[in-house]
Amino acid sequence: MEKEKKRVRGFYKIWGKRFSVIVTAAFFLLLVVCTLFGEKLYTWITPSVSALMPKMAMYESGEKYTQIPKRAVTAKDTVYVVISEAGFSRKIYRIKEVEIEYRESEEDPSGVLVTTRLPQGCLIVTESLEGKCLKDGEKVLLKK
Amino acid sequence: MKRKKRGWAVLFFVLALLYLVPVLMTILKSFRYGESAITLQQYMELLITDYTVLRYFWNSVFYAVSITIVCLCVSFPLGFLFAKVKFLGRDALFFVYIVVMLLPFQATLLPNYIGLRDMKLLNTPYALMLPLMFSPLAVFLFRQFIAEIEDSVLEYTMLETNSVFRLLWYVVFPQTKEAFLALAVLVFCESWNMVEQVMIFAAKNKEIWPLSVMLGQIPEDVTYAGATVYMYPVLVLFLCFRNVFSKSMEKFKW
Repeated sequence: MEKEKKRVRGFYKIWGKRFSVIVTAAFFLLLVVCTLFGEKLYTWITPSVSALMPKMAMYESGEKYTQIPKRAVTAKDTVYVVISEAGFSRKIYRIKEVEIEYRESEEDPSGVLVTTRLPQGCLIVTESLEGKCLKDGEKVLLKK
Repeated sequence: MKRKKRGWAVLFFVLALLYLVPVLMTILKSFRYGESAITLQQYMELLITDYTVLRYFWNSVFYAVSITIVCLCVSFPLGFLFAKVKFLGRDALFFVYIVVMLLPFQATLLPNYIGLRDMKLLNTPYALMLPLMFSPLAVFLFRQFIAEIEDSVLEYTMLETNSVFRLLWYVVFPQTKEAFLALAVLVFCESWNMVEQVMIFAAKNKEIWPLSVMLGQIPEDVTYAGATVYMYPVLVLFLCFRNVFSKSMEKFKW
C-alpha cells in the first residue's frame, strides 16, 4: 500500500513537472512567434473588405440623405458599414449591419438614396459579403 | 499538540490563499471574453490584434536581464571586498552602503536625475538601467554570504595563485551559488516592476517604456490577459528557483 502510494506520488511529481515545463515553453514560443509574425498572422486570420466613404447630400428642402452604391445593398435591405475604433497600437475596423430606409425619388443609376443616419465616420462596404460569414462587430481589414 | 499544529497550518493556509487568490483569479479570468466561459479570445486580441504590446514586454525582458547580469557582476566583487579585504575606511564605507540601501527611492531620485541629465542620458534606455545596476542591497547580501566563508580556505588558495579573479571564480563563487540565484531572482523582480524610474527618467520616450508602465494603457477587455503575460516571467523564475531562494534566505544572517 505504501509502495503504491509512493509510486502514484512519484508519477504526479514527474509528469506534473513535465507538464509545467511544456506549458511554460509553449507560452514562451507563442510570445516569440507573435512578436515576429504578429502582423502577418493578423492579416491572415482577419477578412478584408473594400469600402468607401458614403456621399452625403442635401435637397433644397433641407433634407439630408446618403448615396449608397447599389451593389452595397443586401437582399434584406441592409448595408454593411465599417466603423473604426482606436486599439492599443492601431485602428481596428469592425463591421456593422445597418437597416436602410429608402428615400422615395426618381431612379438614380449611380446608387440608392437613403435617409438612414449612418454612424459618423463610417465607410460603406461595397462588395458582396455573401460568401464571407461575417458577424456584426467582427473585425475586418480594409483592402487597399 | 497536534491540534495546535493543525490550527497554525489552517491559519497559514488561509493567509497563503489571500495572496494566491488574486493571481489565480487573474489567470482564470484571462480565459473569459464577454459571455464566453472558456476562450482564448483575450490572448488573440492581445497577442495578434494588438501585438505591439509585446514590444513593451521584450523591453521589460531586456531591462530586467541586463540589470540582473550587470548588478550581479558588479556586486559580487564588491561584496568580497567588504567581507574579506581589509582597507582603510572599509567599515565606514559599508555603513554608508547600508544607509543608502535603507533610503527610499524618492531620496535618491533628484541626485540620480541630475546625474543622468548631465550625462545626457535622460529618455534613453541607460537612464532606466544604470540606477538599478548598482544596487547596495546586492552588495550587502553578497557581503553577508561571503563573510561566512572561512579565511583559511582563501589563504590556502592565495598560496597557490596570486590571481584574485581565480580566487573568486574557483573558490568563492561555488560557495555562493545559492546567493547568486536568490539575488538574481530579487534583482530581476525589482527591475521587472519598475514604474517610478520610467515616469521620471524616460517620460518623453514611450518607445523604450517597459510593460509595467504600459499595462495601464491596455484596453479593458484584454486586461487580464495582459496581466497574465506580465506575470509570466516572474512566476516562472520563482517556480524554478523557489527551493534555492528559500534555502538561501534561511542561511542568510541579517
